[in-house]
Amino acid sequence: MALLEIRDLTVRYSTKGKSILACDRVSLLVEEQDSVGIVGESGSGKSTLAMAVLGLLPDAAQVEGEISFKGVNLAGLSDRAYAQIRWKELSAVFQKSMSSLSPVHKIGRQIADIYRVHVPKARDAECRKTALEILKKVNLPPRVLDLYPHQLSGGMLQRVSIALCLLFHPSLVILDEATTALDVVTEGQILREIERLQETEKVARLMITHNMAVVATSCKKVAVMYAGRMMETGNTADVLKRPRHPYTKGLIKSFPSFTGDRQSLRGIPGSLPDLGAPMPGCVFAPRCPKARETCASQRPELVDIEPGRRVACFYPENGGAGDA
Amino acid sequence: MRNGRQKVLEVKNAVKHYRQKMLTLPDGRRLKNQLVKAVDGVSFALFSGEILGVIGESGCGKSTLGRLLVKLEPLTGGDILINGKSIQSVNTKSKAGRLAFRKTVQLIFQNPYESVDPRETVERILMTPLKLHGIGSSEDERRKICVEALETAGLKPAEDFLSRYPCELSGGQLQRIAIMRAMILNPAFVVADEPISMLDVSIRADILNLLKEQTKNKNACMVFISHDIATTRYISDKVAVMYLGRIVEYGNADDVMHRPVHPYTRALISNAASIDPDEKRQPIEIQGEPPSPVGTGPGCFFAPRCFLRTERCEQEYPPMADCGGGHWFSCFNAQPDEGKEQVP
Repeated sequence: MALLEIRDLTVRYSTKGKSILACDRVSLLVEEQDSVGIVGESGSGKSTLAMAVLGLLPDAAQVEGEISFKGVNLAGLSDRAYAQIRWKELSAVFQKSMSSLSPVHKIGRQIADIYRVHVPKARDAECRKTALEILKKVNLPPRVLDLYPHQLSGGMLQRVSIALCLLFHPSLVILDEATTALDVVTEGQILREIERLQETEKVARLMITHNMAVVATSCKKVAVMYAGRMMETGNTADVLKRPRHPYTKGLIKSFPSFTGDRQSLRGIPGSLPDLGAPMPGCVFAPRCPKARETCASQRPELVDIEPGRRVACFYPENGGAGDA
Repeated sequence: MRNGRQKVLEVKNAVKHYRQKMLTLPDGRRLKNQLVKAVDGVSFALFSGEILGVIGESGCGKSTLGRLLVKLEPLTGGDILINGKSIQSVNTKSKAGRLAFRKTVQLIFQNPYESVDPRETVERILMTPLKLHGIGSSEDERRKICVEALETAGLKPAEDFLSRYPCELSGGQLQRIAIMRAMILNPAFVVADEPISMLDVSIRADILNLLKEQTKNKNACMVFISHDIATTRYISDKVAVMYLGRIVEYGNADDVMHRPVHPYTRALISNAASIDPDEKRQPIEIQGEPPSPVGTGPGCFFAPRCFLRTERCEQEYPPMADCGGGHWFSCFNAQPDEGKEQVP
């Protein structure tokens, strides 16, 4: 069953005389207990998408389209209504916990504060008990409760954030570059913990990252975004093995492989288009090796081209084994 | 000499210690007047045309090592020889001495927007080093060298780029210019400190290729500092793995990456996420995070987190041992063949 369904979401940031299209008719489906990774480079609109779902976009952003979460349209929901579901149904972990936690309050106090958002009359002892339980889940010792954020390492802080987002057993967790700032070994630890927690807590997970490898190891499904548009969605292993969109293919080719030959890497020539200029055709056309005339004038829609795979391209790759 | 190649860089037991007046440990204890051993006895040699990748987690001293190599920080102990000459003997008091040294060693930084002057045009950015070092006899000749450099870096048409300012360029384009600014002097030795980690994935490959090409073509050598393991494997001939200020494993890139011996290297590599969905690697889980390089020793620095730890590890630091083909590691208990089955 669909837990979150985003339909034709458009987010436009208007500044002095310029209007930037950050998300351009993006559609995405997240089922219950699903894990979806959104991959994209900077400027692809992946974080805007997350912020739109969380209702955290700045006032200057104009939102169109529908974000249906458990049957409720989140787009245009009032702040008060949002407050009812944030933390409880929908929560998030951001890249820098150092800046998302208060530096002048102890961890225990911050957990209690958030607990009281939805349980206003909770007593101190109850808060402490809940906090201890939740810290145990993410493998943190009880002494963390009485520490300040600056006394914790990056990995421990990220664990605190993960603990916080699971406080009320939400049905959807959004992780926005949650492991990007961590070292390799710590990142591995946290990713495994996230996967384990997803199993035990039965939550759906939306992971936003620029690192394809993170998605490859931890998500069932992947959605590739570029310049505000959705390029390709599908099963992770399948998309990585047989990318059908030329952009996905180029992106995968840009990652150095760890095993096998050290074959020459190829980047994608060119750079991101100006998001302020109207693009009647495909956004990737100027950099695409397969672009033809139609690509510059007509916009390819995201359509099913095989079961479980949606691609926005007029001339998709054939996805043969030797192709990837 | 190695295959007719020249030894350019020789690092002999380089040490850099910082003294910190007050230090708060993760558990809240406060210590006074501590010695932070950022680089604690590193030795290696590098030949012309070679690229050495240095990997390790944050705080392992890899960036400090890079800064020592180009003399941005004075050594606490040991020595660094470039073309057989100690960098300690460089006369930094005289302009000529400084210039001669800077011409042989160059540094490429992580963020190109911070390493070039935002108010200078590309032409000025590239011309200044040429002028300083007296390369090219006239303004026109120097401009020609710049145009060639831009074209080599794939920035065409070069004349268009000359008059632009850094803010008018993308991160990738500007990083190419930063690379060419270093390479235009034909240095003997370059340090690249995380040169691609802030660039977008789709343009990283081209920057890596440019770095590799330039190093090989100019017969220079490079120390490539990164935390990204797959990238380091792609660009490097040799790899050094650092942990708390020391090299724990060193060897040919594919030897270290595919047949890691040291338990830390094995943990590091097995935890690096791969994009190949068929690859089923069993990550080695090690507990905790690297402690700070304070009060380390006398035993192996990695011992507190190590899965092969024995009593001996806590008493003495394991010396470097060769397991063939110039592949060195420092561990008492690791067996060179154990890591093999990790990688298909």
